[in-house]
Amino acid sequence: MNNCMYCGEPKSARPMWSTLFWPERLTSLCESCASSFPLLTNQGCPSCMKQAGSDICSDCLQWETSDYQAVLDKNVSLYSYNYFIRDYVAQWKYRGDYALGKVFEQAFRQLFQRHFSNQQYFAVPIPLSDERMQERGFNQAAELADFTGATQIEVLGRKHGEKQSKRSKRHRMRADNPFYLLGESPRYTVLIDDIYTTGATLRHAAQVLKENGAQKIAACTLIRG
Amino acid sequence: MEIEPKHFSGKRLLRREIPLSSPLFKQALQQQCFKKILGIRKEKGQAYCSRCNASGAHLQPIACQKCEQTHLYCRNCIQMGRVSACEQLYEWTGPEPEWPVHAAPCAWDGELTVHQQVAADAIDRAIQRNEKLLAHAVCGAGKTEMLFQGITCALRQGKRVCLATPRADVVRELLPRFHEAFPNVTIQALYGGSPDKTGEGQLILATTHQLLRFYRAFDVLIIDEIDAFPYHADSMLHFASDKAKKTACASIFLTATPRKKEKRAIKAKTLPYVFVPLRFHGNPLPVPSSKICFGLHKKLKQGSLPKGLLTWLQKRKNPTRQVLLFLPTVALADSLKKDAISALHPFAKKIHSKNTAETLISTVHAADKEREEKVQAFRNREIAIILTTTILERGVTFPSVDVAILDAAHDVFDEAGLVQIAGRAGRSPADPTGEVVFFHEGRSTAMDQAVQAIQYMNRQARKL
Ligand SMILES: [Zn+2]
Ligand SMILES: [Zn+2]
Ligand SMILES: [Zn+2]
Repeated sequence: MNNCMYCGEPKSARPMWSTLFWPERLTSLCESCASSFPLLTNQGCPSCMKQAGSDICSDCLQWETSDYQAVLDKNVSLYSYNYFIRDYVAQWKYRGDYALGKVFEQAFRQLFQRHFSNQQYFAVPIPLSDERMQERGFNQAAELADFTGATQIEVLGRKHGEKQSKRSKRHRMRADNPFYLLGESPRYTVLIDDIYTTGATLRHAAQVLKENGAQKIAACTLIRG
Repeated sequence: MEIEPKHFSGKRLLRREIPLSSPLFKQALQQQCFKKILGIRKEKGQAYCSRCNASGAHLQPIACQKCEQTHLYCRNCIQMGRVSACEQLYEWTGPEPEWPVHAAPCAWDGELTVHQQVAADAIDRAIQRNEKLLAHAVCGAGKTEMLFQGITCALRQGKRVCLATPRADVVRELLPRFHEAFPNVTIQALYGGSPDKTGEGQLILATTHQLLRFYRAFDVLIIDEIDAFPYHADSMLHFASDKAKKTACASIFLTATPRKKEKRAIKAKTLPYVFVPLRFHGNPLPVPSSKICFGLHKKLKQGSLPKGLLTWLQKRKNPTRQVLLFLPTVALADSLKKDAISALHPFAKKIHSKNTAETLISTVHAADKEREEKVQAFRNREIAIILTTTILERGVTFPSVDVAILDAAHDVFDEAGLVQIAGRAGRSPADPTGEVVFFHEGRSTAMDQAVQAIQYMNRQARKL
């Protein structure tokens, strides 16, 4: 394709300098789109990558004094949040434009391999409810889990409820855990999702696994919202 | 419950676009109210989207977990909901809806000029006879009013009418005018993000893209600004408009700046044609003047404005007119430095002395989230100088503006675009003239052609 698969503008015929350095990087997009993803270059909070100082952030401290203490070891993410990635991800997951996920393949695999090179880790995508799956036809978290190169197992199910993004943060924390176990929980688990916002979804999922025999649970997400 | 044909007739819909409960939908299928069509069809080994007809790279594989297979889906028309190979489109085959016959639908009581009347009669005739017609009317000829007579005639016969235009801005601008002109007709506006999506009006105003929702729906299809489509979008537009038409249907094409293809068809007399060379207020089109600015590209690259522009602003005949300032790219608009913008402040103050100079200057581009608001603010004269990319080149009208184009020789400004841009000036009978200036560093062919085209139209108008 000679046009950018996102904005549709023609891609420049000349090889761009960035492809010389990262030949694998986002080559189906034009240079302008490819460079609009806000790559995280700082660690930020050592446990969740929140970009506010280099100490454990206040959100994480709060989690560790809650019922969710020690259910999630850490989260790593590839990008921070901006309007561009918000719209891009919306097109990908809500419109169901499956092909847009492909551009993350290489970078997401590298992120995963960098942090979870231990062969014992299994990738567990955050599931969609059956209803949501009927609507969209694919789960963006499972598409990401495919990219990791790790063995992927679907051990979680999800009850159907109202759309999460419409709930307030506090409501989300108190909301009933929508996840349930489908099979045997692996001992070493990396939960995969597209975004870490408050961390509530991932901790709900982690808690179910933890209560059922998982020893180490971390999260690998595309975006630290 | 009765199933209302008006909701579904003339459309090809995905199941999720059909708001019927499962039992009711099943019943409708049993009664053969819908025909099933494969979402992606294969012809001679090539796959096509059954809604937009896209093929090739527009169709991409998805590992679908609904049917647990990997199959194609269409990316080209995904904004209207994804069409997949494992899904069907449903076409209404139930009873045809009855559209109301309106005895006297038109409440517009304005008067047409002699030349508008000639075009209105030709349009009316084409509509009655289900023929094709190209109406070439200069910017500001008052083409919307020329349509009313023909549309009235169609509504009297209980026909269904669609006016499609490339830009959502224009749909939004037309809706209140049509509501006023046809107060008792169900009118709907369809564009990406429009509040109404059902498309069950007798009179539909839509962006051209939205035509894809329809199938054999209209007795009259009016396509506005046929020249606005870049060459590659052509086949999609043709497919969409052919699909939306009933077998017997009138097609009216409107343009202010016909492209080569249309000019050829006019010359060969293969397309019936009517020409309105005069603006409704009777004044000629403003002819652009050109100002060469040495070092223009360098200046713009540095984020500053050429001196020539400021000199012109200084010397304008009517310094209280608002200014439309066209730039070739968004990047350029964004990279303008603060002091470049503040150099415009004194001129903005002259246009509108009450507000602070900062709020009087604004930039607008295609992806701008506040685009609608900014255009409205400019129309309300709350903004004095607006810096814009080509998105304001056509469709939108402002009563009293001067127009400047920076780097007019840039590729993005083709002949049709430049004629359209020049056509923004002198639109109101109260201020029927206006200045149009091309700032450049070496003329382009498109600039010369645009000036010639405008002069030609003015000569034709003088002959009347
Ligand atoms: Zn943290
Ligand atoms: Zn399609
Ligand atoms: Zn499928």
